[in-house]
Amino acid sequence: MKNKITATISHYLSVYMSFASTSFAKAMDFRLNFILLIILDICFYSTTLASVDILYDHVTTIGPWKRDQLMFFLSFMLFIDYLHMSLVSESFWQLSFKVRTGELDFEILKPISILFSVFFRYVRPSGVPLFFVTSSILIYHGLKVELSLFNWIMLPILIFLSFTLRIILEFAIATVTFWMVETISINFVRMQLQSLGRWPDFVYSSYPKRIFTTIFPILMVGSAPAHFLLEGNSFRYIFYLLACIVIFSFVLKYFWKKGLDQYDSASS
Amino acid sequence: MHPNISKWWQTIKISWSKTLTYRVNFLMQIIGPALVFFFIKYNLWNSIYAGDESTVIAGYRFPEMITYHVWTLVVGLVGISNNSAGISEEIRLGKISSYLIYPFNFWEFHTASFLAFEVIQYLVASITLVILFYIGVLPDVSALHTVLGFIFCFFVACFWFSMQFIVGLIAFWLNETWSIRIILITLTSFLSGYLIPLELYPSWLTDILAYTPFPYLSFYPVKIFMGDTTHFFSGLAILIGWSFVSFFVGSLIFKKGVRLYTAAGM
Repeated sequence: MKNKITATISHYLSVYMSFASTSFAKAMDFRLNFILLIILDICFYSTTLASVDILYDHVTTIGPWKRDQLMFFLSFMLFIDYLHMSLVSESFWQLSFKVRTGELDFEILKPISILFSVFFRYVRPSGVPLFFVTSSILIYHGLKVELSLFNWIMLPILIFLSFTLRIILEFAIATVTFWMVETISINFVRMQLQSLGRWPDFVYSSYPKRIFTTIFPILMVGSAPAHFLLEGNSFRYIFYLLACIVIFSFVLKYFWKKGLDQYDSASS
Repeated sequence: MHPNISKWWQTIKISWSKTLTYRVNFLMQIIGPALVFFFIKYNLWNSIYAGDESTVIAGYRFPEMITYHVWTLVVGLVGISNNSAGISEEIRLGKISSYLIYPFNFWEFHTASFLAFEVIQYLVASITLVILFYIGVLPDVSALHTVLGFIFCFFVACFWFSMQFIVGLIAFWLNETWSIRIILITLTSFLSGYLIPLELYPSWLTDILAYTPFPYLSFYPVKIFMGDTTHFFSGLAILIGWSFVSFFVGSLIFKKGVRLYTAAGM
């Protein structure tokens, strides 16, 4: 049993290495585009952080948080955005294309998990240099809020959990592609939900906050870890995060199966 | 009727038909993001002011700040929403070959499509405005300033279109131009006062921005809508000047680029 699990993991890792390798080879053919993607992300990080920094020149708190706390939250979210952009974002756009053109047939035929081959196929190589930028921003703001040693140890675990919840929620939205004629537009819904999640939960008024922390918990991606790290290590936030991951994994599995049943293979 | 007028009119009608056929796309790609962004800004400023309407931040009380952001929503819809993504795609996929033969050139076709898009956007912005007014988000509207603001926004849209046209033409040299387009949108949102009013920015930054066209893309049009017409004529002159410059730069780039064009797929 143990050997079987190890063999499966190593098989998937080797497939993923091949995916990454072909993505790198492709990116190196378009070097200027590679550089432009780095500039684009740096522009995005700079303007996001600068906007909040400017706001704090005029106010002392936003909700219960002071400048350093909200800047830490933002740098955490930018790191999640960075992981998302580097590891999965391209695949969402490709899914729309594959469903519309019937190219998904080839993914279904592969002897690996279709979710894996669809959503982890494309890696963005510009993420390698950007890792140093985003992690430096996160560490800098972590030092500013004086995270304890325990919180520094918890930080990578929380990043992993937040990223997992984010991609599960977005995979679930992406399944709507199977029922739509205009498949591209679902990506814009996904992007709007990302924008909503880039602000802490206390920013939103009662009803939106309830909806986006329970029915579709996009606010939990950043707010749960930030509350845990900044407001006294209450483990209920980690419990919420884990519960959301488990529940929405089942939701994703259900809708993905239904979606595949709905898929009528445009090319055949 | 001049024969070209009929071609412009037919192209505008085709563009309307294309846009309104894919209504879900239009709703989710153009209107949805603007409305969601406004929703986030409303909640954020509500949280910043914490329900205290007497608090003044950089000269804005809460209702004035929300009014500012309602008008940025309108400016965003009619002034800076056109993305001309089709231009680069047509070059990349070799589709501009037809424009080299047809008696209606590449620029004319895309400008007619832009005008069609603007008509729809003006309609959407007007409906949005009426809804926001009736639900009480927009407390006060002056008819004169709304008309002046919409006139100003048309020139904003012309300049923005010419910038987007130039970015699209870079596809003669680059495989993908969307990253340049997003860089332009990101910087413009930040530097034009679309995200937060420029009065909140440090003075050294606003001094620099005064020498660029950025404030004329959001901040000044919003001010006109809010009743401050100080920069109306000077702003129009600056936008028209920048539009002419970018039009000539676009023409030069097109002439250079078309020499490199290989008509992929033919």
